[in-house]
Amino acid sequence: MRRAGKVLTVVVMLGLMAAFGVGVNRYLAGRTSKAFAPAKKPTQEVIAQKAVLPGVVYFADGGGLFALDGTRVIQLQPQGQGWMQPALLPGGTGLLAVKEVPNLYSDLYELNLNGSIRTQLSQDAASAAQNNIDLTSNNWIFYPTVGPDGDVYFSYDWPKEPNDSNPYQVDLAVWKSPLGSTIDRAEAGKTMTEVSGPDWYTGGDVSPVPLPGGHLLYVKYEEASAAGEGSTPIPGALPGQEVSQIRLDPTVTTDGTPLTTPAENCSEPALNPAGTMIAMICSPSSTEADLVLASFSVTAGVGPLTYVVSGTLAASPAWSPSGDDLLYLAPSSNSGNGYFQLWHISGVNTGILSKPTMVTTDLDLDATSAPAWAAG
Amino acid sequence: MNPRSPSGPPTGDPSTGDPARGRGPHHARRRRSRYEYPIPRLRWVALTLVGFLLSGAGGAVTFFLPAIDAAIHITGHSFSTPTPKPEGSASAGATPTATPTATPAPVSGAPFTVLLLGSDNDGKFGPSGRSVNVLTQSMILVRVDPTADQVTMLSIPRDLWVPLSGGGSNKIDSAYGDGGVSEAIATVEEDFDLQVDHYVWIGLQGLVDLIDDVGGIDLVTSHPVLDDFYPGDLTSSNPNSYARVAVLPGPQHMDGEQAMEYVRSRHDDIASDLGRAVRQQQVLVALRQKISELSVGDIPRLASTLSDEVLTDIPLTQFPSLLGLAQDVGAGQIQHVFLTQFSSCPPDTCDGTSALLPSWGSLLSYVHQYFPAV
Repeated sequence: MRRAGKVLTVVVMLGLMAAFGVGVNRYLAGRTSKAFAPAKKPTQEVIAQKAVLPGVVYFADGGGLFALDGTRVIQLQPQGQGWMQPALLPGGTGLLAVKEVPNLYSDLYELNLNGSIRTQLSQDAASAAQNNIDLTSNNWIFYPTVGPDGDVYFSYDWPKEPNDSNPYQVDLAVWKSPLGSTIDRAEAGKTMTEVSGPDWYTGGDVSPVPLPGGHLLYVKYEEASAAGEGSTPIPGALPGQEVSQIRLDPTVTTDGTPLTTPAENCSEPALNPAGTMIAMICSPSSTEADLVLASFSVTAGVGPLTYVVSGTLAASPAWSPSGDDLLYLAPSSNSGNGYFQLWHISGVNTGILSKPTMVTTDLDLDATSAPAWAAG
Repeated sequence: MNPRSPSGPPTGDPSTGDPARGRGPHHARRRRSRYEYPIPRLRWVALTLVGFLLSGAGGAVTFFLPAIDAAIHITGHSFSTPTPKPEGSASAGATPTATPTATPAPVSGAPFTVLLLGSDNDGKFGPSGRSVNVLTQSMILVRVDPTADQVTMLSIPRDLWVPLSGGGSNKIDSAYGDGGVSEAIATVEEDFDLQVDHYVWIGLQGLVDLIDDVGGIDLVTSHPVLDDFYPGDLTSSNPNSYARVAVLPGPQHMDGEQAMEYVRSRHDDIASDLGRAVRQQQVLVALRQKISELSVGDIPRLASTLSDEVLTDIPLTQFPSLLGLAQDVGAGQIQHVFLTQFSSCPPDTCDGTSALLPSWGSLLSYVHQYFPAV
């Protein structure tokens, strides 16, 4: 009996030891960094009641289109389809969005607010025969928005090779086209009008913001040491080092009026509904991007910059329909690591800004995810 | 019942002064057992403790086994370089004599220099391996000063026309393809007149996988990066195919493939290869930032990812110190250095290739401000 007890004790202890070993293994396996955890699907996102936003926010995530409505995230188009950069049609009657076929081309679509496709607005894919020769017959279209004049403004990589001499040159220029007409580089100079002329080999001109009276804000990428018209180059900049400047009213042959300096390196302009304030992203280094507010008018330009959020990687500001709130993207942790989430600031109209609050916690947003905020 | 009944258990011996004597059977039994089994009980306790320790160690070893295996594959790949030439380091045609190079411990407090080599995907060049005609897409010298927590990164333009350690002159990116790590290091040492203490080689797919495994990196892309002739070797079955690339500007979270497109594209960059060098250093800094968040549970997965895509001569035992150093060095303590002391090769020079001709005097003077001459 006593021997049996000893045997039982040994067996139990061996079992406990084995369990301890497994426990150590599992403990170590559980000690993974939260920063490396995969992002959730947007429809699994849980929005805290205190973070609920008024209206509906449209955004892209992982190639899908989604609408944030109260505490719910609704899928408009599934992930993995290349959808990006949703923009509202006038009156919030529908959406424009870009659909990218990775490593080939992108096209512009008009959609209903429930995500169903109304029409394909551009024809940017080359034929299979052309692709067998080279890929330069494809085109990129990005940053769509509809102006007060009813035209669609966008960035488009045409002309790519003005002299047909160097196929390596691919830069985005701002173009416009009447909403509903076919966007195709064969229409260049007909229904499609080139609005800006990029500096070659810089990546070009992006983020058009059409204004009443035919004015246009946009972002020009240019050499820091040889900044274009009206700008003072950055002394000591590396040869070819690029910066972004927000400019007003370009033509195909002129850059337009600079509203920010090369040293400020500002981009991603968003104008409030009243057209009196501009939100933008200014980047003093490659590891920092600040959310900046300033007054704006076509005649006076941009007022003194107020750095609202600094020391992080803020991106893609978007105004609420009331103009009192701002949404932007930034990493989920203060250290600069983690997936980009939606962040919210209120109180712009009162001049007393709230502390930024994180609206989402588990999304994986990027430069294609810029939100569009509708009244709902 | 008589508590001192002879049939009861012994209760001690007066001659020994046993204090249990006369205290009754209960106390006597406890006392006797304490004396009768002292060593076996201790042995049991010891055995049990050892058993738990071994079991726990087994659990830990099982967990870290992939990391240990990968670390053995990755580390300790020593290199040998030719005997340094006494002078005229930039002269061509010397016949190298391979001699093993001493590899001092990288974190002994003294500054040391590491050559980072990023090359084409070895799979592209068939089963004969990664040293066959593989060009280094990226050569970055990193000087680490552990005492000052200071890091300096210097990008060497891949098109720099230099004397190769193995003989003749060519673009510096061909040194690795000609003679592997040893020739790449020897060429850098001889041409730049400095000492390389260690190297780290990483394949393109390894970089993609590493960035994916750490959950992506966060950075501000400097400008729209567009390229209609981007190499399709990582995404296509045809290693010589092309793809179109469009990396949009601004702050963003990038996965491995996006980051690779960002650092590898160079055709539509006004700064050409210099622009690409700037982007490469930017991604390395963003990656270091992400790796500084590493937890112990992430190590085996990362190690498995890297086992065939990273090689280094740095001993495994030095990695904890290096990881600690990576966490201590902030972005502000990393100095970025780029070479601009060169010009395009005139016609009928540089074997007619599109290469960059160094102005050796000013170039070496600049390099030695950051990397001491030997």
